[in-house]
Amino acid sequence: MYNSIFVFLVIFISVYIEVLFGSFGILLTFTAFAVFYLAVTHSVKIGVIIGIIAGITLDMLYGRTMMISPFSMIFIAILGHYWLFQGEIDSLLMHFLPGAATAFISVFPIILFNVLFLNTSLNNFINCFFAVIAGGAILPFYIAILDHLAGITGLTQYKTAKQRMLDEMGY
Amino acid sequence: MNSSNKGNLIFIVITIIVLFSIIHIFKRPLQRFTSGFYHPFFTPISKIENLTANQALMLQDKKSLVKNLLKLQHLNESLAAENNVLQDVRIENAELKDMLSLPATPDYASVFAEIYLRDPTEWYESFSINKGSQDNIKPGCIVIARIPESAQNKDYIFAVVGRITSVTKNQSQVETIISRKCRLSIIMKESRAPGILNGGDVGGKSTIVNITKLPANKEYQKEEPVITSGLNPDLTPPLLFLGYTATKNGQPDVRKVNHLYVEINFQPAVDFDQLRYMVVLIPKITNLDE
Repeated sequence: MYNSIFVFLVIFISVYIEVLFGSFGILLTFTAFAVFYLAVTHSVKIGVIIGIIAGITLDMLYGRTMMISPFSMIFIAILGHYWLFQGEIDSLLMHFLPGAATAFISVFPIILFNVLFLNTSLNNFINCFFAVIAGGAILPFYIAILDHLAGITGLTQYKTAKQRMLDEMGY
Repeated sequence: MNSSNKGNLIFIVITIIVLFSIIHIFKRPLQRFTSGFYHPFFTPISKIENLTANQALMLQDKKSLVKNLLKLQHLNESLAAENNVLQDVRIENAELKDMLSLPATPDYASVFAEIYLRDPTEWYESFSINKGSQDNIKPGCIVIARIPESAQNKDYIFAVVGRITSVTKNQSQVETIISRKCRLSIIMKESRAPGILNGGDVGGKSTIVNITKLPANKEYQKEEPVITSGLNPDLTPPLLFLGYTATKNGQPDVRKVNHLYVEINFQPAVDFDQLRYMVVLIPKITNLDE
């Protein structure tokens, strides 16, 4: 029950902050970070479901022509799952890589579609570059904050996700 | 590829196709739900923003505030008098059209609106405003905004921003004249040549919008005003200003296409970076009983 409330609040606030920053012209992919975090702490299935819902919400709020975000979020959830197996989960600084990748997967397809089919400005690729750099810089802090909150409320934490998974698999 | 991997791949492809179809079938209800759900949370932000902007007035001294107030009172009275005369003309026009059994010209109610949400990936092409179907806004309505006064556009106060594409209860989506999805019938003011807006491009320094299907046999002038044609008066009023034709090497930026028609670029009068407040024009038929 508490887990569901936590998941809902994380997604709700992430979408809210992303749209709020977006309305000031700042492209920060908080929703994608939330999907990545939830895919690691919970499971890839939950990550995919939450990602689809969050992606639809984001695109609806922005009034986007093409619903690309739900599909991008699926790949971000898969990236989270892959990172849990292959990545360096203990070092927060190493999270620059998934942060940048998450931002890239979230933003690049939308900008590419807009440039190719809606004839939007090529300057958007510069925005994409900054979003990727900002993504790499923000994700470690984002995980630290959410993990701190999850720790206080006694919910599943990011730093123990790998150990928990290995325990479940019987290693 | 073994059968298990093949099965997974087929499952993923089918899921994506089904998801894609579901999203497009339920796009409208989903849009209404999400905008209604988040609306109470975004409204306070714009209220705080306006409150902060209004606080700047408090920093002005009393003398300048009184001076501005008197100036606005005078302006208000002269505009009210002008409006009174125009109302009489409007009623007279409607009565004469009624006597001649001509279709009534739609009158336009104006709704003041503010930018609500804006997508950074479609910054110049699209945004949503904080007024929706409960303010009688309908898809297709024209959106105009006040333009800065300059020696060049002294004849115009407002210019076209774009068109409403979709409406929910509390918000509406606007496609600007830069977007390819906003097609408007226009006319060149001097040459009287009709054309169609064809989207624009935002470069490093300037923004240009393309007009297509203009007659090839006309002479076009540099910095010629572009206005709406009013071919569809049910939604778009005539003579609304859009901008001036762009110049290239001192000549109007004209391009012939297959010797059939001409394309011209023009610079929109609205500064889309500074845009915040606007007016939506809603058509209404003049009622003689009023």
